[in-house]
Amino acid sequence: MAWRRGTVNIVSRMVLPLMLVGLVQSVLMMGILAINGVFTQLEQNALTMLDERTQNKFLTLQTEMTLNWSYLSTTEETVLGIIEQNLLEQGKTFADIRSDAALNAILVASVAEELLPRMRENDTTGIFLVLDGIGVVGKPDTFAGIYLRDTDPLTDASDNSDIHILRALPPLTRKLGFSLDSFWQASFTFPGGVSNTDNAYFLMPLHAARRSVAVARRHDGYWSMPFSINGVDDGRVITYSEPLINREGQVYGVIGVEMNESYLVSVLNRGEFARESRGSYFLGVTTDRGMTYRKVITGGAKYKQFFSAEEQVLTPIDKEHQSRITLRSTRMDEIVHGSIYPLEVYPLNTIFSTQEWVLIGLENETELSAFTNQVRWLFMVGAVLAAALSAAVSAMVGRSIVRPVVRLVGSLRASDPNQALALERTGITEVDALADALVTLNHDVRESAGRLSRVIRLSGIPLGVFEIREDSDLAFCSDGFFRILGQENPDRQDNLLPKAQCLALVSAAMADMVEATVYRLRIGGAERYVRIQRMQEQHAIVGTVMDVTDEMENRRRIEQERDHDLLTGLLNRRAFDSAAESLFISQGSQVGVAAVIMFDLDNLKFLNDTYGHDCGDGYIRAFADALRQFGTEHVLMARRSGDEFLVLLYGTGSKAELWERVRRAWKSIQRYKYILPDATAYQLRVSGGIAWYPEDARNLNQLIHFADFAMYKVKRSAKGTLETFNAQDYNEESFLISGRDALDRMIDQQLVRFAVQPILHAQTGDVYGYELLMRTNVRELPDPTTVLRLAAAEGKLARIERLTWMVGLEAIRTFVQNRATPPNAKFFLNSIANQSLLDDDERTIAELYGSLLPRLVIEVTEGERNNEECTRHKLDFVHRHGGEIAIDDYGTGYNSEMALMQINADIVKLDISFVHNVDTDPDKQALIQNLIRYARERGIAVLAEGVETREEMRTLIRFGVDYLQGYYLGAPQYQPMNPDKMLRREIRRIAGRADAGTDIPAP
Amino acid sequence: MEHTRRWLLLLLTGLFLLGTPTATAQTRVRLNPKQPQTLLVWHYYNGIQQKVLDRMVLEFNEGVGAREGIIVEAHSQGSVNDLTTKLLDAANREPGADKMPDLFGAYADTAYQLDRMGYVADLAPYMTAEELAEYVDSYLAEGELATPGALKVFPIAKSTELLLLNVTDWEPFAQDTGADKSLLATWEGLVSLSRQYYEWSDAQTPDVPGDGKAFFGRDAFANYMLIGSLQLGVELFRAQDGEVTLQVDEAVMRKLWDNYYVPFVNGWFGAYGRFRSDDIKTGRLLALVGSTSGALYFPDEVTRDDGTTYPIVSEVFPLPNFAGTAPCAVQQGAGLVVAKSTPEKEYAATVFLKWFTDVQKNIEFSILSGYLPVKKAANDQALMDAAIQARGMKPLLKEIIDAGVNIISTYRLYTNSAFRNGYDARAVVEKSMSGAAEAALAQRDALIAQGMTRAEAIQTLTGDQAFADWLAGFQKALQTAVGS
Repeated sequence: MAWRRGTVNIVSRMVLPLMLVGLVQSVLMMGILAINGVFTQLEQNALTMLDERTQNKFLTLQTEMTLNWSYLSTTEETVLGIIEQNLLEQGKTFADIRSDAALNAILVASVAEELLPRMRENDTTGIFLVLDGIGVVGKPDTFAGIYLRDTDPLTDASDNSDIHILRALPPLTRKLGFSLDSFWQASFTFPGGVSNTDNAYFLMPLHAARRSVAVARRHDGYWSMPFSINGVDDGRVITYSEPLINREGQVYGVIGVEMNESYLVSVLNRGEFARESRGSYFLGVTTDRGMTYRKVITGGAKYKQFFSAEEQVLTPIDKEHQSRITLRSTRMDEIVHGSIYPLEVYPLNTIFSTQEWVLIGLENETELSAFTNQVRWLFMVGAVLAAALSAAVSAMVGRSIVRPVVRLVGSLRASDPNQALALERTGITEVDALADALVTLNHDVRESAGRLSRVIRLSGIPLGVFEIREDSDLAFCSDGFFRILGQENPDRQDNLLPKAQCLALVSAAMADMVEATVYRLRIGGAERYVRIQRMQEQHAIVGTVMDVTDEMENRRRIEQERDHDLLTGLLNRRAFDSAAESLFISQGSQVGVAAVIMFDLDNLKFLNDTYGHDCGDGYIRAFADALRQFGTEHVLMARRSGDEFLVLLYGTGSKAELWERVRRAWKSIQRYKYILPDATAYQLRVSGGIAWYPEDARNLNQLIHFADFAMYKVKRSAKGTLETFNAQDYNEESFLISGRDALDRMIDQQLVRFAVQPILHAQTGDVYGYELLMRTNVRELPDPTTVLRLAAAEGKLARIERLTWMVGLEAIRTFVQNRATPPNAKFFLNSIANQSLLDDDERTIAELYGSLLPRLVIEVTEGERNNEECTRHKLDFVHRHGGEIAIDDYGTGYNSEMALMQINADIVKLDISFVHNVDTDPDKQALIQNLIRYARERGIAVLAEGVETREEMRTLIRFGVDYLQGYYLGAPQYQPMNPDKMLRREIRRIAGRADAGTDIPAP
Repeated sequence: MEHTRRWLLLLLTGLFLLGTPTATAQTRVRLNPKQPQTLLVWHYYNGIQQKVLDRMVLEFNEGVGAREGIIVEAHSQGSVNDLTTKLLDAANREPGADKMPDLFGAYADTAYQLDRMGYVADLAPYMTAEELAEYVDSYLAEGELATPGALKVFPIAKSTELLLLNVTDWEPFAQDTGADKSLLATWEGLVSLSRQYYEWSDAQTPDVPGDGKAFFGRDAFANYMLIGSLQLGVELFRAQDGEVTLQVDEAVMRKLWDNYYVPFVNGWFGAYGRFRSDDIKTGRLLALVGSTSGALYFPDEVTRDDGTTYPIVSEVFPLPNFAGTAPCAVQQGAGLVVAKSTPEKEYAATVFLKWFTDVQKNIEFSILSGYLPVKKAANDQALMDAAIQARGMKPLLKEIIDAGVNIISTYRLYTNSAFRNGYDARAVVEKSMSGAAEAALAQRDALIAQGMTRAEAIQTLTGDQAFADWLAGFQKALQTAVGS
């Protein structure tokens, strides 16, 4: 029976470990998943999804706020026109608005009709216009104006019965026929002035516009926080208001729109996120770069579970990075994650741009990690199941293995000691092998200790070991220990030396620490680095010493290469930023007065082009050399990019002192000469801009930006001088800076569309074609001239060119598809002269719009030289595909006769300056007749643009101009228009008489 | 075997009973809070009423709604007319029309029309008899829509009409002329007062003749015609089983004509802004008849055309009656109708409606919006006063509510039964005489400009021939509207 017990034992011994193995495997699996960050990744994915949802909502809101709700500019124009007209009729001026209530009543009534369609089109819940002048006679604290409201903009009542009037004088309310709001008043009042935030919608834009310089006024639109117009609980609103400004730049009132809370909430709740009730949105404003967020409006069912309605401010407990925050719910024990998207409601560097509007999507931790937890739980269940399965399997396997062993034991027992064993072979060999292995193992263990030392030396690792035991006066030190520390081993036999001596050696080696555990030694005149690590064990100190000289030298070299510019040895941009940053942060008090100087080498391109890049590099190195004039103390210098250098000088007590230091260095730099390959001494020429800390800015980026700006100014004017940053210049040019973003936006989002102006046959009056005129949908860039100026400054003309082609051709395709134009009508597209298309673009255009190209006429714009290879390349492309070329603005700028000869043009467009008053100016008549004769001989057609009067047209037709274009024949519109019949008849009539050869003015 | 069969029989009976709702039992539906039922409500409330409704919907959604799984979304459709047009478009599946909402505000005539098209749910199965008994009987009767015992228009708030007077501007007039407020009790008295006021105000500027001011104006003109006709002995729309008999009595119509059209053309009555309350605010009128719900907008100051203001005190009077007739007033206010849908949606809608008309909630909605509650227990002066007091509302509102509750208990309340094309017929009644009066007023000034005297012009426009012309047109328009 005893062997039976043995069987049970073996099985259970197998089952338990195998079950454990199963469990351990599962746990390991979990561990690996955890270590590899699978769970973190899952949670990260949940956050990314929150980001995406929030981004969708952000895009909606951004579009609504910046493009729809706040779109007031055309209305402002119209209002100004009407008011000027009325002032003229009344014999008054803008100054009278201040005190003339009767005049104001007339003005408000005259513009009231403009407001309702604007409110409807912008989908806002209200609109208002307030004049900066008295509303009621004898009440100087009243302001004239009108305020209309439509609480539900999603539905429009046909009879306007959903419109309420909040403010307007009684006669106007009767004229409009809308119902009066419960809190209707005849005029506006702003009790409490600026200190009452309920008045901000009027006073903020008004005062801002008064304070700011002329250029910036167009950016003085103001978004209010939620408030009640009537100061009572009749629903809170946010408003967007802009100053009304006349042509002299005087502010005469405010126009604006309101969005009420419930409408804003419905905009936030639109879509799946809120309906699934997973999270919520918070629209807020931060004025302290994200330390706190003031509430504007919240949406989503869950928000109220996280935070009470009374809380006006959210304070993050943690910022993961720019776009994510963590909050603690005040109503439940829960962490809430927020995904932040800043709404660009104010352009950069404008008066209200410190108020940063943001949309935050919120979701609580539990909800976010629900999926991750589910996965975790599934793994747990899987682990238990796996363990159970392995237990069952191992029980079965165990039984099948034990059976032969039992047979073996049985046969052993049954064997006769006096005879040779006759056992089943399998069993016996394995047991023998096991015993042999055990004996061998035992033997090996004894041997291994002594071998270790040798192995280390053989392996070539520079490692030494020491051991100091409590119970001995002697310490063990390996050969490597002495070799690495550069010492003689006094005891070559046993490697033992007195404890005190060993300790002295170790602590001497640790005298000069370079970094944690690494020390510098001088051995035989050479510098070595050693890593010494000690470990306190129970009764001993065990330590290793390792030679890490190679490693340290490698690291030094890498750092040097990482932080320094290879060419000049100066810091590179990254190293400069981090050094300067740490200077400002960790040693703020030592900075004192500081200056950032931005240099830009003049003439580098010239040297590169003339003498080759080696010479250019030498020039750069020479300047880096010159920079050493700034000394080595309290200075950081970097090569920022190609020919830009940055110098930070600091640690000076006063600006005067520092200025002296700069002046001296600058003087010597200017004397520097560079020897050119042809042995001439070339004067170093460099432009520089300087910005002062703390006078101009307290922030490094800002300082660099200002210095850059100052340098940029020099670069554009005199060159070769060093100028100080001037805040006033900067503000005046802020338009260029903010325009940069607008331009990018315009190009990236293709925010342009095309108006078309008809071009008529001068003989038949039929449509010959249409000129496509680019219009931007970006408020900062009102007209194409601004776009071109900016694009030229920013080097983005090529992108504008591509945009013109792509969007223009698409517009043409649409017109043709909709049959909006007569068949075979030509399309004139304005091209920028020295910008060519990429080959890829040309292929795309040919593929997509190939059939349209024969109808295309490319106008080469004025103001650019046409001698570049790329222009010719582009024009070839047009001709190759059957299109035509027209010279635009002929007679002005660069496009004179030379251009006519150089460019193989099909059509010449006569500039408006020739056409204007052509009927009365004999000089112009002579010029035009000459040109027509010249063009006729060469088979070039002549098109007169800018025809504005009947007389001009008559004269031009009689001279034999081929085509006509101008306001008299049709203004640019977004849909192609046919000329009216009367005009056509008139042209034919004039042309007929011209054919008859009568009544032609003498040349 | 016998044993098993008996058990089986019992089980089947039990299942049968469970699955069959009986007429008396409340239909039970289970809602899942995880998958809430969304109820889209279309209404015509604007201004304060819309704000109060929105606030209460929010309260419902966060409380009962969140627990039971009901989300209510309320949208104003502008005016009653817009709402009705959109509903009919949806019902007729006009191209581009919206989907039918789950609940919508509707007067009995519109509800009737939609019910005939099969769009209206009967909510009676979701209510117990005890619950139904809590509502004012005539309100439930209005909601039956020609199906006895049905609940097709759920009453949520009702209103009636009152007369309001600007006492501050009345005083100098009364002092000069001895005019008596007791004349405000009858239409005839009101006309004579208005004439007196016109003449008195005309005399204030002796050098400008014909510049007297109107005294009175009214909104919801159809009520004047329907209530007046009934009061004078003939019900204009006699409806039974959804069919109407038009009863246009010439003598009755002449009386109505003499007490509105004639004073209007004379300039004693007037209409200037969109609502008469707007005219009171701008000082163009001294008195108006309007709904209790509109009385909320009655101002405490008058604004002159140049924007200057002065405070006024107002007084509330019961609706005038014709001399020698029994008092009669309109019972109005749209109820909410539930569109025919799944049992879950209909049940969810009933839960919302019951919550909304709970005594305290209904009083809250009523006093904030100027309506009168729909439950018997809620139409209690003391309860209402307490609620008004608790909110510190202005005393005029208390007067209005008191007067409204008073009218409900002492006047005969009337609303015509629903009938086919009732909506169109009402539109004719609303516009026919009032429109004719406004047209005549414009004609009057044109005639004067052509050289007629004022008296001659008015005589031409208000004489027998003018009346006969109008009456013929009115009858024809009515017949066209009801489709007979």
